[in-house]
Amino acid sequence: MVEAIQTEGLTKVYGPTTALDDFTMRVPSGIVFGFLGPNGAGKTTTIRLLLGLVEPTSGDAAVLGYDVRKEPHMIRGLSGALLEHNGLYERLSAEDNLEFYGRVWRMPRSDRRTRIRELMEHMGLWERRGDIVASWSRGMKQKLAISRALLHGPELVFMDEPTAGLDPIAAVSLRRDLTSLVKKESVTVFLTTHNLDEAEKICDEVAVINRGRLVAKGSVEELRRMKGADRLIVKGRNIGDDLLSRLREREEVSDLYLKDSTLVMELRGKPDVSGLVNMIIGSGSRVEEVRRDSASLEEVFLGLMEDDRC
Amino acid sequence: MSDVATLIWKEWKENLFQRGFRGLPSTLITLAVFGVVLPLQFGAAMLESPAMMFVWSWVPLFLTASILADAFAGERERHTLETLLASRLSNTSILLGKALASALYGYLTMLASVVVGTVSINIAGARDRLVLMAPDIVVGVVTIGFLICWLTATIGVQASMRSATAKQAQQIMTTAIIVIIFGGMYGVQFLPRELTAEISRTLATYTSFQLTAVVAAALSALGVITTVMAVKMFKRTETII
Repeated sequence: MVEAIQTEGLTKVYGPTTALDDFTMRVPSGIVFGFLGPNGAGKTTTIRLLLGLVEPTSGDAAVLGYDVRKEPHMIRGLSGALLEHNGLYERLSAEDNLEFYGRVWRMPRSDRRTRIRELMEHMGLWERRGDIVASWSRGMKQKLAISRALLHGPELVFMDEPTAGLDPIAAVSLRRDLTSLVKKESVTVFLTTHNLDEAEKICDEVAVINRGRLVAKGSVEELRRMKGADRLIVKGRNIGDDLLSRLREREEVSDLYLKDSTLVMELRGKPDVSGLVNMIIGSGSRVEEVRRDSASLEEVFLGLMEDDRC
Repeated sequence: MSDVATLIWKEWKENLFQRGFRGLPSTLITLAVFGVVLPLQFGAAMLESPAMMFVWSWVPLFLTASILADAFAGERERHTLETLLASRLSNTSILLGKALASALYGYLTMLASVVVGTVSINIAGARDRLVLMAPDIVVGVVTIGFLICWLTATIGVQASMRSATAKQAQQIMTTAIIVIIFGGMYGVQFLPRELTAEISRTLATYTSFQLTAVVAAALSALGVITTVMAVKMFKRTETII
């Protein structure tokens, strides 16, 4: 698979702060790539470096095959961006915002008009195209900014926290619109977020960054396997201390806890759990539900952050 | 050039023609002052006196400066600059587009003031002949006016680039204009009398065309210097603060 982004020892230092530290990563093309990290981890700096908006202190990076130091104009020409701020001209109408960037990308007039209409209709904004953007809600502005980023049919789109600050309904709606558009356009998306639920739902691959350093990279499943073992969750009544003691002694179980009427057992690897279930039922406990689960991305993420702190 | 034209389209649309033509009142006030009030006060001399070409030429200075403050500092303040810099536009296109948008705004308003002023003088004067600018004065106003606009734009755009906010850029430009105008006016008084007399005698020997040529050459040279300075100063990787 062709790589959309490659970095090799990329480093950016601002005065006493190292925003990005010896950062090496590869992003395949044609996927939604999630770039996860807490606030101040170096996500925005990475996007700025990849777009040639700031110069690296050391290291190399190539985007769509172009060197970020020597050919940043080529990268910008083939990319779209929704950065930390939506970048919309609030004194212009929604349609004029897209018209301006359509002209910037030298789209022929008829193509521009057709494309603007197509995107605004897809996002449900067409009826309000003449409104001044300042009067819009944050969710509508983000949808317009996504339309702007995709307007010229870029090969790669950078999106810096596209759903940050949105209410849950607006975020779900935006996420849905974004994923359907991305599928339709076959574009590579480099998406930064600290919303792990979002990353889990829409990203094919993720990387975790903390304090400017790459902590982990892979598919969500791979990260789960890396950090989180399976769990057996049992809901029921009459789960006594004696049963808990016996379960603790089982080699499949690394840890367990009982909260209210839910028993959670952390498993070692991927064991057959039928023996555990039989033991619980045989003890006289009244089992209502048994479920095998793996760690959520949030748990994996928190584990990685904890490891990195150590 | 199409990228420069695109920037001009955006700048004018954003600054002048949105929100109920919010930028037009200041343009109309300028037209009223320089197209009606002053021409009625000075009468035909406003069109016929060679000295007046310098008065006309200063009209666009304030207009150009008024929208220049917004060029970079305003975009930075409203968080639109980074997205613009992330586009395919070249540094030169962005810089020239912003400078030309403000220079042309001032220049076209000045030309409109000349036309309105001519009409006002002829209506109010009720003479038996049409009063028009002499060709040498027209050349002076058209040439020097544009060069002053360009000079203001290329200096102002640097102030806007260095300022964190549009207000700060506006303050820098207002101070600079006051220093240049009043410094020039009062500075002359401190020159030795013999020198000012010599300058006056020399200038008196020039025709209007020659005078225009000398001033235009000086302004052009300054314009080239300030343009080069602005181009060198504008570095994409140092513009995001």
